[in-house]
Amino acid sequence: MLAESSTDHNKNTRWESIFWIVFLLILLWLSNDFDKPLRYFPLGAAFWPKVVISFMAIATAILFASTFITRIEVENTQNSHLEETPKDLAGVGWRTFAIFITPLIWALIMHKVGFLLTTPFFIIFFTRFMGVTNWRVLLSYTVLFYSTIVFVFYKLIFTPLPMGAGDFHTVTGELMALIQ
Amino acid sequence: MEDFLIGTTLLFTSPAGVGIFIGGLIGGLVFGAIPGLSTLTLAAVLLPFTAWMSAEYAIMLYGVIYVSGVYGGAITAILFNIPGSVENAPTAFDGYAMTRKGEASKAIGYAVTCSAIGGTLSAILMMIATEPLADFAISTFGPVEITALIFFGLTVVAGVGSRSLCKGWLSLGLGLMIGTIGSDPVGGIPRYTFGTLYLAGGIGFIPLILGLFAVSEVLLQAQKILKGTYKAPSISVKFPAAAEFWAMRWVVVRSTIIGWFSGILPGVGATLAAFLSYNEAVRWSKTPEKFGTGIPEGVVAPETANNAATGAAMIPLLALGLPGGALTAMMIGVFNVHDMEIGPLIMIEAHDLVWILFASMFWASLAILLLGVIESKGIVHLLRIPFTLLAPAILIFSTIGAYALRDNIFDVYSMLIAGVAGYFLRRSDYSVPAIVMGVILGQIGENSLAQALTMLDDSFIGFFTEPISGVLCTAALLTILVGIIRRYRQFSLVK
Repeated sequence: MLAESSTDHNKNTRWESIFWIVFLLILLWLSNDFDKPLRYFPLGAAFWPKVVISFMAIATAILFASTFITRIEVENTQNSHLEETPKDLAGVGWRTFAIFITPLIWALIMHKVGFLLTTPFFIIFFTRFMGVTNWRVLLSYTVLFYSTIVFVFYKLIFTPLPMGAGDFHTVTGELMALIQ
Repeated sequence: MEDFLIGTTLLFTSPAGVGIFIGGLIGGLVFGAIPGLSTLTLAAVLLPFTAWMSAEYAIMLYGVIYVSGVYGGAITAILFNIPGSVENAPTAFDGYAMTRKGEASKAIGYAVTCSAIGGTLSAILMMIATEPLADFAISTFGPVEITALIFFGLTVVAGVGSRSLCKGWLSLGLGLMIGTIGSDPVGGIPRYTFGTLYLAGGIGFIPLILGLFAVSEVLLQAQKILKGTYKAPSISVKFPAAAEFWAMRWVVVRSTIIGWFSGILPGVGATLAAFLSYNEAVRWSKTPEKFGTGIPEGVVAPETANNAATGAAMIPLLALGLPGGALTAMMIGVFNVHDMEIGPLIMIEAHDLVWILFASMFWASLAILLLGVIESKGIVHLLRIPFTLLAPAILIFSTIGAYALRDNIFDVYSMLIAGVAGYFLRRSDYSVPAIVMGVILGQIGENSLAQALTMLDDSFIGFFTEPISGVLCTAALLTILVGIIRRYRQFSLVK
């Protein structure tokens, strides 16, 4: 069992090492764009990034080499938050995907439609995906939390938040005038 | 002493003075606790209004906001893994882990008490030795020494938050690389910007921190909820005992010194103070592997240091007119609004005004203790809210925080990308604290390194021949060596 999990761990670490090597090669290639000596600093703008890339390359090489050494880690039960970190996405399904994608969709739509108009929908959908199924709880929480946000950020401290574009900008502007 | 009493009397004898003091205290605490709406926002909003206040009240208000704001950011860092500002980020490393272990009240207790101790000691030192110490620090610590100091600080970062030293190094490297995005500090040459205007200014600290801490935490906990493995943190309102505080005495002393010294250095301030003192707490600990898992030293060190930096930051500001950060720079604006110029003559020309500032910062530090003790008993009950309802709130507050700082939707995208990246990195045992420290210390460090190399004719030998930087660089190399040996001993090799 231990040997099996150690093999899996080594396999993952090797894939991670390959990822880092590719990532570092891309960074190195991109650094050619600005790899010129500067008037007051002959080492140039690429000096520091190249130092860091070299440092990371050494760390990657050691990480990769470490997968060929069989080892038993001394029990480290203190590192509790690392222990409880989920290691896979198996058996979770569409709701995990929805939880990952909803904030991104909200951010994209917010830019076009505005914070004021999109946020209630985000609260409803995200809370639903998190597992709240009672519609009464869902709606009352949305109303309460949304009103608090609007009061604090639009009425009390006038925080600049996305207003949307085109007609949405106008609607948000009118709503804000109404609130303020 | 007499000056201090005069300052205190001028501060508290009028109802307006008391009102402004309390308003500044609460304003700083609230704005410091809301990510993105930092004390800078409050200070910027209030700047025009200071023209209608007397100079004494205006400068006192800014002193109080500065002190309370630095503490305010610790609350959300501890309870929800959302640092209110960059200098509170290291507090989240262990503070939030303590919350997950059911010790939120204890963590807040440590944070508030140590913030008060750091702030008060710093205020006392500020009153005793403003001018000579400013001269000493600024004449002794140049770019060479600052670079060496940051190198020294970076050497322990890899050991925090990851079980693998290599992954810790890679996390640190990733942070340092993120810090290089944008214009280079010497020639302003764009690096890794892909021709976009947004990246030319670099990736903002706040969106990055919110993404790596808050968003990734929501994603991790959400996955646990869906898998049925989520455990809500237990709530206790237990304040740390006197003996527990006593056990922290050396951490407090060390962090006060680090915070105070970092505060004096112009352009360095509370952020570096918090990160360096966290690193030193790791370095001096007998159990460095426990950092990041929820131990009090991880809260005590950054909170003492970032508050100790507040008083110290006044020293170069008042004595030499050099601001240590954005808020202290705004204080110059307050003085200018009232037709005064900061510099060596300020102690003579506006003697009472300076002592009102000193007194207000001293009393604000003590008032934080009172407010914080009450707060620590009450605010932990926020954790009773189920995480299913808390998660959208965390995401919305983080989004507001990321957007409002620069009025830029790309900051929200950066935050979300950092959140997803942080989720996968944490799952693979990479260290988020090391990434954040890499970004922050890397940016300050690169700037100093470029200046130092110019001064040393591009020779690295110079770092070892200058006395202070020589000691720091040697100690840094020894730390790397000791770290490798320590980690090596944690593994038993099987033939």
